[in-house]
Amino acid sequence: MSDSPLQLALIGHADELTAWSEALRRLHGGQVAVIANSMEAALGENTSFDAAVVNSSAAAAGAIEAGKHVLVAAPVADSLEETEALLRSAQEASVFLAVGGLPVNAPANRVILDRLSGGKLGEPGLLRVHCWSGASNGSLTAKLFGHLDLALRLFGSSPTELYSVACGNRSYLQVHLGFAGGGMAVLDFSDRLPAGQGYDSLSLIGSRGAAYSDDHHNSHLLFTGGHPSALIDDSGDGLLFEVQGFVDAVAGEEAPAINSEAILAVHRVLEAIGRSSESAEVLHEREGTYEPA
Amino acid sequence: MSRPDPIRVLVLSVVKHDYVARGVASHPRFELAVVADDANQPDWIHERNEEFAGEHGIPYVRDVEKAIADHDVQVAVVSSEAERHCDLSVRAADAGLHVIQDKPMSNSVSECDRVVEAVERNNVKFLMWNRNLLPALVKAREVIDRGDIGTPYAIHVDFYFAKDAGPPKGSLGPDAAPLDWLEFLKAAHATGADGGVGKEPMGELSIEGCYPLAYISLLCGKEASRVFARTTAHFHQLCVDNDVEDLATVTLEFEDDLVGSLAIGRIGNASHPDIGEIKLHVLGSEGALVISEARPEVSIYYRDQPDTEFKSQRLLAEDNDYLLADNFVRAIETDSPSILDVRTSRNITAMVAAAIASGRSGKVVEVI
Repeated sequence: MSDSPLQLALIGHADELTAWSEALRRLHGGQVAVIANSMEAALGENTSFDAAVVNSSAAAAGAIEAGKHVLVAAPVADSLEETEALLRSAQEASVFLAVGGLPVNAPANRVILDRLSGGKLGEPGLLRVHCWSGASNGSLTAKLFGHLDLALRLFGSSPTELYSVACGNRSYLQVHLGFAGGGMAVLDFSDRLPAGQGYDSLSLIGSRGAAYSDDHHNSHLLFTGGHPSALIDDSGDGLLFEVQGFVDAVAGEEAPAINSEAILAVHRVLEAIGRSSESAEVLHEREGTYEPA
Repeated sequence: MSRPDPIRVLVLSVVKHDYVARGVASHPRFELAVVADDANQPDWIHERNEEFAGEHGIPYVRDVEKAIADHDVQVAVVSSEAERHCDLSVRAADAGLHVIQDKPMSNSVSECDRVVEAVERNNVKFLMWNRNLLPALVKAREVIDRGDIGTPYAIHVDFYFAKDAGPPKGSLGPDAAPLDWLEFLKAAHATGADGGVGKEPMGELSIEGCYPLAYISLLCGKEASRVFARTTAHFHQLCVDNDVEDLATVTLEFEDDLVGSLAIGRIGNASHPDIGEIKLHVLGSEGALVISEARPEVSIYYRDQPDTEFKSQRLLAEDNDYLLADNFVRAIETDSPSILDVRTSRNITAMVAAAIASGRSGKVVEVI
């Protein structure tokens, strides 16, 4: 790889691009060369680029077809099959496909993962996540994918059993996971909050300690008359961390932090959660698939 | 204007926490009259009963029925080991006494059914001691009742006690003798961590599950009909040796499109700077609510502060005891249900039993 900075194309909705562009000003070894709302538009620009940061599976497919490395927003694609096809085409084109928009890259979760992997918290026992937003703040599937990825990383494996319940025409989903050795996780997702800020909370109980990361603790207060409003810090640091990791991986020709196998493992759990919530059955892992007992 | 006669109270065994009897005594309408227990109980039980009676300047009688007959009492406060709760409550109800009982109601749903039958047949009142009148819960109920978040469709409770329960799991080595439940819990009386004292080992769901499930019942007016649970002994060798859980998660399914969950554990002293994170998350059709059970609180730090002193002090927490006693006075005098009545308490025990069964089987279990 040359020493010149990696040239990036940012592909997304117009309302996201300004924030992305701002967050990426501190990028090392890469720079934003093109900003566009579609891969076709980016390719049509008279500027060359090496890699693309995209927010849809269609744009990811376009980038791979054009021979570009790609960082695609979770959940990569809507189905396991489509995700497998994208990963296959990336491999055939000899480009990296990495995943972005993952909670594991948020500053608080990086600290928790660091302390856990350093043995400070002991064996993980219980993960609790609340992830609530309004309907306009991103898809429930993307949030579910991201937090499943986090859960699998914290416990170091895929769950051995899972159970899921949904209500409100699937605008609310609750997921219960069991891991080998007794670990457990309960995650719930809602996109039915009134318009405005969402809410995120995570606690991890380990055998030697615990970690709590909660908007309830971490919010600031805004006084403008009447009751104060909570202000939640959203610095965009997670995006910079993700894109930096992607740029470093491409420059070093190393596989991205979340590899194909990890992406597919999350998608298998995601697909099983959908089946469990439909059938109201507990599903158990058997040789990589989830089936009723 | 003359003051009403005091309601005389029989303290029917006081072998673990004495906060129930003390809470009742904090209300001016109640008067502790006598402590009683069965004569055939072991010495350690008599010693604790004697000590409490002496402290309050009232007699201790080693004959429950005689104490009832001789002391003109109207209310029994039951705080024995959990496996004797229901038997003592049934005998008190059959003698026409209203009953206040420490948690858990019982280790056995069928025992709870006996209490329900006795309380209803004798037309007496029943209160399971609980935390539903802590300021945070009162506020949460007020917000929900006012309709601020619309109709709740999901409710979650985290209920962690950051307390140790003896040696950490695996720390004693493979050849160590199993820890004896009763002996360990008897010794834990000194720190007040003896809620599970008794011959029958109990996990955290049984010992503390009543509290968070009572929150859910209070705020949503419903009890779960199906549960799925994961349970494990994650922290303490005592729980491993006695095959009970110290960590659990429960998915709760209710009628009418309401779901919920409970995360509960005795997670060890190192896991939180104070008593532990106790939180409620409620989602409704018009909004959501995040409630920290400990708040309002004030934090106090100083040099040479004892390790055993909580640095964050809950405000108005003692009001819960007074308000529970006051609630029971009102239940008696107006023939209204108490804030945690006998049927709700029985149904909470059934939810706990279903969760334990689910944790062992790995299956969804109907609550019966």
